[in-house]
Amino acid sequence: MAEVLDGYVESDLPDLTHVSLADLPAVLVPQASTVLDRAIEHPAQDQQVQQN
Amino acid sequence: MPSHMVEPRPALSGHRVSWELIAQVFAGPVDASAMGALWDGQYSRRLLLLKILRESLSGPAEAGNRRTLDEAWHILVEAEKHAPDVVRQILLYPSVGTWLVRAIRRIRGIVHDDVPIWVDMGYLSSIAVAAAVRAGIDVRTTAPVWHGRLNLPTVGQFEVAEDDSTRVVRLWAKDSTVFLESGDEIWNSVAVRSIPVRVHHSTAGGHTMRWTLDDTDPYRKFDSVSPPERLGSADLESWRRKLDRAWEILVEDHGDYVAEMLAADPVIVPMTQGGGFVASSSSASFGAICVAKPETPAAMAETVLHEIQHSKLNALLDLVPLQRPGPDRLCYAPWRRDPRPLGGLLHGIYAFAGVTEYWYRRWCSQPRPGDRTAAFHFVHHQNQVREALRALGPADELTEVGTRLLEVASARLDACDASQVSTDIRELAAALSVESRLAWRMQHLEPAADKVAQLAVHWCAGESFPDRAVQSTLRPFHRSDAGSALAGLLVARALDPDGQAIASEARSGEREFVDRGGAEAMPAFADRVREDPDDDGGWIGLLLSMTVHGGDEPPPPEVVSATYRRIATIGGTPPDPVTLVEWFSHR
Repeated sequence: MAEVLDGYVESDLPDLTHVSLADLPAVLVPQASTVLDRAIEHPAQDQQVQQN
Repeated sequence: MPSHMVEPRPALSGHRVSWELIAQVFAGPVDASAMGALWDGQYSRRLLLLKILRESLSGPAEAGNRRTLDEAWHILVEAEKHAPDVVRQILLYPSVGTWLVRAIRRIRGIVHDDVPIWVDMGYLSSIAVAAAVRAGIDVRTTAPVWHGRLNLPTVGQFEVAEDDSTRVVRLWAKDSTVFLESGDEIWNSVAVRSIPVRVHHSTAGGHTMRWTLDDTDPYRKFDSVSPPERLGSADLESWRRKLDRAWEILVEDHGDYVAEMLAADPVIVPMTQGGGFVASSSSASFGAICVAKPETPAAMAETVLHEIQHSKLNALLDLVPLQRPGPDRLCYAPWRRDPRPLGGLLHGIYAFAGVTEYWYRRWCSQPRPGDRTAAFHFVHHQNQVREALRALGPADELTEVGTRLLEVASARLDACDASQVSTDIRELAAALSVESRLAWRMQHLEPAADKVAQLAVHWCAGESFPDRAVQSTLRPFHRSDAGSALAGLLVARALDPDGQAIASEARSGEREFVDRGGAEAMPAFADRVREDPDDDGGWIGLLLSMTVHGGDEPPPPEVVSATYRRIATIGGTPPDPVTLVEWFSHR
């Protein structure tokens, strides 16, 4: 669950933007399961479909 | 320690998302800096999923796929040392996101189909070779060929076989050229069989948009792996013209969206499927738009703007949740015939608030009252979002951020003044909203049988309508679609008031309603339900005819029709349907 701080929300999603691929395997990501569940658990909800 | 095991490092903190970014996204158009923050979130998501995919292949049965992934990983690491921006760009390519989610789902048994799993797992090699080619590094490896094609995301495809075969090829990327091994150490360039990714540039008002037209990547569509469907030259030219004109519209009338459109770097996936499909976006593929070619440039512009709103909200949702943990209830979404989970409804509210503004501006920028298309779409979408907000009501499941989304969406709608839109268009749009709600209720809500029986007893006893609402239960698709042509006729009349509203499948009462109004159509609808009490389209038309222009809220159609059938069963003689509706309406 994201945490609301002063003017910011601290996300569950770890900031990996400065992590190289070489270092990525060693990075600990305790929140990984939360992010993973959101990404893969509900295939039917991936898409937003416009219909006539 | 095995080679793939590594010394763990301290956990990283999460992205810090400013309220300013959230406010900007909710308000509509965002600047390049905000888009940069959303892209950063997407990059973290891709890296995390890549790490999870690699760690998921740990069992002995997965040793082969694990070796393939490890080899590809090492190539990516090398490529990143030479050209980090190129690797980031490839990993952020939309189809790579779709592939990544699919690959993890396959390992976990969430997705099953007949594509060999080694093809899915081997695709990281294709990604790595694409990175090697673009970074200019020299690698020899293997990669999967599916449907006779080797696909290198952002680079293009190579026709490796003339048939649709699926196999592994050994290849050599050297000096940004790809060679395939055709015998022991015999390497042939495949450049002559190259099918490059198509990019088209549209320029308007000094802004040049880069569109990628992806008609070949196997993971370009969101829900299946797809063989290439290369556009022919005439079709390609038609797409290019529509995109050019759409870009002109966006730049001329929606200049504040230009920065986000450019930063979205859209990938257009041309679709041919019918069944009412217009367009789609996916949480796995930021920036991609699957789209059936719209009829007009204005519709193309609307579609692009609409789908990029979904992409932005998807990216924000990866950073901050709108809902608290818990079950996702199903809701009425006026733009859909099926019940939608709350998360989907929030998406629609956000995207259609943007679409309402799109048509509002278009209407404001056109000579009035000439552009009925813009006026109708503006009012219709404004009604839809307002109705969605009203039907949703208080939503305790929402976070502070989610609640803010609804507040801002409501304010955005209020800022679009519909009072100058012609009365007939507003009435037709209002009728369309009521028809949509009645049809949805009829198909998905079921009243409690004992409550319906009590109502029937009251009616048979000659008593007045008991002033108690009957709660209906959501049972999706418990009845068939009513098959009414009313919605199509209402839209046709709104867009062309002097033309003949065409609907070959129109049934009795429907054309009368659109041409001459509810009072004229009511007898025909009443006859339909007398003849067939299960004629849901007849009930919808009857309720619409009796209430819409009076401004009354129609009684719930599923309760009225069920009570009618119940009375006919217990009383022997069916009631007069018009009198029954009046009874429900306390008249």
